[in-house]
Amino acid sequence: MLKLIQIEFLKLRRRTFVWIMMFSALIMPFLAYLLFKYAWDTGGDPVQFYKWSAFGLTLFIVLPVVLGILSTMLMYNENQYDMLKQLWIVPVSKMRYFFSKFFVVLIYSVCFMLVTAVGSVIFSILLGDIAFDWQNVLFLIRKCLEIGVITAFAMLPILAIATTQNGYILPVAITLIYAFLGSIIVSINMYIHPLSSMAVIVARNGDIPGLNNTQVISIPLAFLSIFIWGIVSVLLANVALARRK
Amino acid sequence: MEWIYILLMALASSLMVIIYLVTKLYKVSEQLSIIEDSLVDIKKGNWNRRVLVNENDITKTICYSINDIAMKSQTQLIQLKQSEQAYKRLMTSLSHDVRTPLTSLVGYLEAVQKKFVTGKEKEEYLEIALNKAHHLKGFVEVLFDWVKLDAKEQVFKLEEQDINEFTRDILVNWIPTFEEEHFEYKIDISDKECFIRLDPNAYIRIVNNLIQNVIAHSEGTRIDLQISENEQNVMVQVSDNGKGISPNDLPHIFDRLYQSDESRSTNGNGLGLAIARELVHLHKGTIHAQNSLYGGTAFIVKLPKVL
Amino acid sequence: MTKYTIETKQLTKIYKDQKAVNNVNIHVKKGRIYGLLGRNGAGKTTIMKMILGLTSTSSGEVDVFGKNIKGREKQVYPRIGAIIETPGFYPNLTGTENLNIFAKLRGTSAPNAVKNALEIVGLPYKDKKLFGEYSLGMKQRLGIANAILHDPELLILDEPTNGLDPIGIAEVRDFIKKLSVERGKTILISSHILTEISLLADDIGIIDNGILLEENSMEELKRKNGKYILLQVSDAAKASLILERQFGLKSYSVKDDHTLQIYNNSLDMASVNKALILGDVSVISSQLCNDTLEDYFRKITGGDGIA
Repeated sequence: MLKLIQIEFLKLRRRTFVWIMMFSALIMPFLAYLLFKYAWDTGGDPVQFYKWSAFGLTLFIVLPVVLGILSTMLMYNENQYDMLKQLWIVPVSKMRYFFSKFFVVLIYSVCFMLVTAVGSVIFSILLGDIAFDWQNVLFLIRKCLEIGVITAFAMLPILAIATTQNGYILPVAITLIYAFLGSIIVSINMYIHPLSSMAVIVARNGDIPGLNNTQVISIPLAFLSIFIWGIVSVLLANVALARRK
Repeated sequence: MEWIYILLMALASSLMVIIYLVTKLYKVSEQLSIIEDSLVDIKKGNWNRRVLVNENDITKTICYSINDIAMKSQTQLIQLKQSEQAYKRLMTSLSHDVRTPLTSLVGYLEAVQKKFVTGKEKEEYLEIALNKAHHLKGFVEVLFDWVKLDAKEQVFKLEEQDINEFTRDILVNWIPTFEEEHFEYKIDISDKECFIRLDPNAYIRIVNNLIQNVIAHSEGTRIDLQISENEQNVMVQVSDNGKGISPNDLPHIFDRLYQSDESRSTNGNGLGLAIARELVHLHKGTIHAQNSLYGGTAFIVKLPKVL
Repeated sequence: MTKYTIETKQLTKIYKDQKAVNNVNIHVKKGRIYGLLGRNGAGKTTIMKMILGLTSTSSGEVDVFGKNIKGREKQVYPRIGAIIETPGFYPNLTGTENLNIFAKLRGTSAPNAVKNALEIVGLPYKDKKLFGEYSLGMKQRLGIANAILHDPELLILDEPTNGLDPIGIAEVRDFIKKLSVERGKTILISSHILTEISLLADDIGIIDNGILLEENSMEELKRKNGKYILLQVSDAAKASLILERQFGLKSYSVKDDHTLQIYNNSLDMASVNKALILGDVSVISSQLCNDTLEDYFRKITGGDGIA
């Protein structure tokens, strides 16, 4: 398994787009910086700033879209160039193959959120009116790690869809729909969609202002939702890979 | 309270270590069972069996050694088989290609001895018989050479040679023959030095056999010799403007004793190209023939610069 | 140890009511090259895929190394090297990096496995060229390098010379032959080109519309098919004299004291018989064989021929 994950990283050589995508982690911190510099005022509360730089759109749109594109790219080579049969006769187990891809997504997701965290801290200092405070930074990093890990799981359906497709277009389109659906569904029922369920878990203590607290918070229900979606995706991927020969 | 945390930490870390060691042990035992299976198979005589092993496995050197032993035994076994086959091929050759001229020789001599022919016709018969005997002698000599080559008995000594200069020297000796046989010739060899490792005697044979083949079989009027090089190889090309080789025959011409039906006549023994190929292979090179667009055939010998 | 490395029993594959492969029984013997000959779409690739378990069988069985492959993939696959259709690799990596990935996945049988495999197929080691920039021929070579990377006992090669130029085809053919002769590998190879198969294979299976029409050794087929006259006479020496003097015959060979093989079908047999009898040679039998291998294949595939 470790071997397969190592190999996944070997395959990413010369795929500069994957690394460039990492920079998009800095977009939201930078926008938050502009926003608070010229329009609003943080009132000295760093959490207000972090809400915009790390928890807001990053959580619902930027990270899911980036991970969706990454999932598609990870699956693209083998699917497009008819490589799977070469892997099956090595032999590589289909589930191990799928999970090695998933671990890459997971690691990438965590790294992405860490970059966001670092970016947020740097821009918040640049802003000037927020005092640097270890406790707040630790809170930020903890939340970012949570988001990173859980989002990777919430993106399993996209990874599964990517295994069934040859091209880029459809999985990326589905990713966009999936991400927007996530942010729309939040206000209806948070436990239908894995992304909104993830939001429930992240905001469980009510310590992130602005995230919707109108519905009853139920952590087990949220985990259950992500878990069920995950299982369904794994099964779908298994069927899809068994058909690809 | 403090010491409980420390104890828990120690417990957790030792648990991690134990899990790591157990998985490691499991992997090694798995690899050992693979090795055992392979050894059973090898013991049964399957010398082709290999044990595959990961780059950082503990058993790596053992597995590589097992593979090495199996491969070397396999090579030895195959060499034995090959010399056996070479012997068999000598026997088939003798029975096919010596028997035919010999039988016809007997036919001529019997006719003379039983006085079916007399006078001038008798003289003619005797001359044909003598020619056949000479040809047979020549054939047997070449045949033994070839068998030696085939059994890899001949010793080869590779030495650094300037292939351009060396080829020119060989060609000088051919010029009288070209003129005798009414062949126009064009030699395109660079003046630059190009050193590669070759066995001089073997190389002379390769060039001679190719030229001989053109003169004997091409029915052309022109012969071109050319040496070119790229980063990895030196290419020696011998081409003519003759009748070409039919596509059906082209893949077979380097096979021993293969002669396309029409040319199965007395002036060739069907071994020249086979010998050339064996010799080229000893230099780890390749040889092939192709028909050119403008008629005629080109033989191209590709020799690697680094052996 | 069973005699056959691969044996299929009543192997059948049905795609939407159409039998792509119909009750095929092939027998690949250990240490030999088995050539699967058939037109494009005859079912060759499907058979190979079924042998490798890459596609399900509708009915019938496949035994590899004497046992059914199902459930033993982990033990059996490392002993097989295969290319099916045009092999794909990661376009953003170089050839060496691609092979390194497979070496890591499978494990290796010897140090420098990647370098050796590349050397055999004639590709440079640690070249900077990305796979995406490779020509079709280079891609095919890398595919073969990957198939032999772990020094497997059995090679399954689906049209390995596809996309290669004539020189490349000859080179690939040479090293496939070498793998079998010098390393004792068992090889199953498919092609739609008759000469390709007839040059390489020891055994041959001819497949058309999913049905195995014939399975035989090449030796036997070549013996049965050729353009010649087989003449049995009381005295071969006398007969050869008459044939040479009266018919100017040069292309013939003497099989034994009573049998001549004549490679000139335009000979008028009636007058030959007459001349022989006049020359006091009795003719026991004469047999005209007028089929080449190509004719034979045309006949058994029902007229259209192959390639």
